[in-house]
Amino acid sequence: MLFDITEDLFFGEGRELFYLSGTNGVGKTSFLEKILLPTLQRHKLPYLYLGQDMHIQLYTIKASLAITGQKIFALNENQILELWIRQGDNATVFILDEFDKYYPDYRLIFDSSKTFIQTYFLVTHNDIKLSEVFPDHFSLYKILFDLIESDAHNKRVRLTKEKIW
Amino acid sequence: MAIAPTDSVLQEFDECFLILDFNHLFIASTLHEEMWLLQTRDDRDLIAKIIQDAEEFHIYGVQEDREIDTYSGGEQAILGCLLIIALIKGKQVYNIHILLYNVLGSISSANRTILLQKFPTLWLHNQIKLYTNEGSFLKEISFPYEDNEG
Amino acid sequence: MTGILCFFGLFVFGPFYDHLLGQGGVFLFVFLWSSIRFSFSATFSLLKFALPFVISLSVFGFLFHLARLLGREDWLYDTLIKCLIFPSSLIFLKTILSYITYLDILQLPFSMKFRIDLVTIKSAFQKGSRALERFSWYLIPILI
Repeated sequence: MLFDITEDLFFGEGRELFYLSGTNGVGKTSFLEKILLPTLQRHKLPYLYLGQDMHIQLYTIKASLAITGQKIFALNENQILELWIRQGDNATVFILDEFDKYYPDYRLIFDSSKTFIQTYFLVTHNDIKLSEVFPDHFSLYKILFDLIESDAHNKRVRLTKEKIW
Repeated sequence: MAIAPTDSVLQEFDECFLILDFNHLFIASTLHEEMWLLQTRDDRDLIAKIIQDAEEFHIYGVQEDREIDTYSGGEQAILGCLLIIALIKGKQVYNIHILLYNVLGSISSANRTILLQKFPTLWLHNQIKLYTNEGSFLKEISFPYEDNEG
Repeated sequence: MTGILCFFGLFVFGPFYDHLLGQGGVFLFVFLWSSIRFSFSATFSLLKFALPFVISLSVFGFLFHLARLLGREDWLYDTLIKCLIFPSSLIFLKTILSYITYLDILQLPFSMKFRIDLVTIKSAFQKGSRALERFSWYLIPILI
């Protein structure tokens, strides 16, 4: 997978939401896990990440809450998620990969995190009516993943950033 | 379109549900092995059909012996659906309910439209009913399908 | 199956157990083989998995050597052999089992129930390995 990044994808100027868009197989999750997350780790920027395989991640979320002494036995999944988010209040970046596949309502995420998260990265294939659930005072950018070349072994994808509002 | 809790719907349809779950799409690690486990042996026509259909979704390089983990999540979901469609047609399966669990949410809206356009003939000729989930509730997909979410 | 029997029959329980150079050669061979079959990083991860056991072996071997347990003075040498055999065996088994496909299992001359059980075990191990990698991936930020 080769990414052609046409302009700087710098973030951290104010409160921003980046919406990663593109068809299947263009490398959105690869971009998150191979480029964005290592960059955040290298710069020691705390983050919250809800991956595509949340059914596995829920086990580690429960483990992390148990390690910190939280009693989670009586909690349902929504409550566990909310608790995990609120516990991560030192994070400034929140990355969500197809979260709406499991929980159609993003309000759970935004309501729990908007007081401390400065930047959201969102991958979704659905029109989530951002204007209805979006936290106030955030700028919205779209990062479009465009497949330029593809053969059996390699893909070349162009990333362009566009400000929506 | 009725929306109902998953458990109650599954209970009603008992063993007649074919579930494609995004989190557990394949048992085997290649398409070739998966087809053997589904007792289609070396059906070259079937695999050729899947490879051809995959190109409609801009999924290139599909090979029967390629590791399934090398496809993206959305690509795997599409291939799983194409496999089901090909098998239902090939094995003359009738009167079952297909549940796409967390599958449609991992497919882009354009690919979703292409994919769901492949089901009406099954719905018509094989009396297949198609469901998807919204969170933990199930919703039947009726045809003609209109994508309100993309 | 022949490969597995040869490996264990010759190098683990057989005549070449005591050959340090031979065990070193076997280790290098399986390491290279696994790196080609999977990748260097996957093979290295497997070695990291074996590391706690190797360290435990080394510590006990050293202590036994100091104590001259059972009057033996070859504890260090024997420990070194074991420290090579354990990871070699682990890498060898993982690599050779990866060549066994579901088709091979389905063609075995056993009852269908037994073949289904074998398919289930293979699938569970494959899914389990993948799930373990993802668990580790998600746990890294928590444990740092």
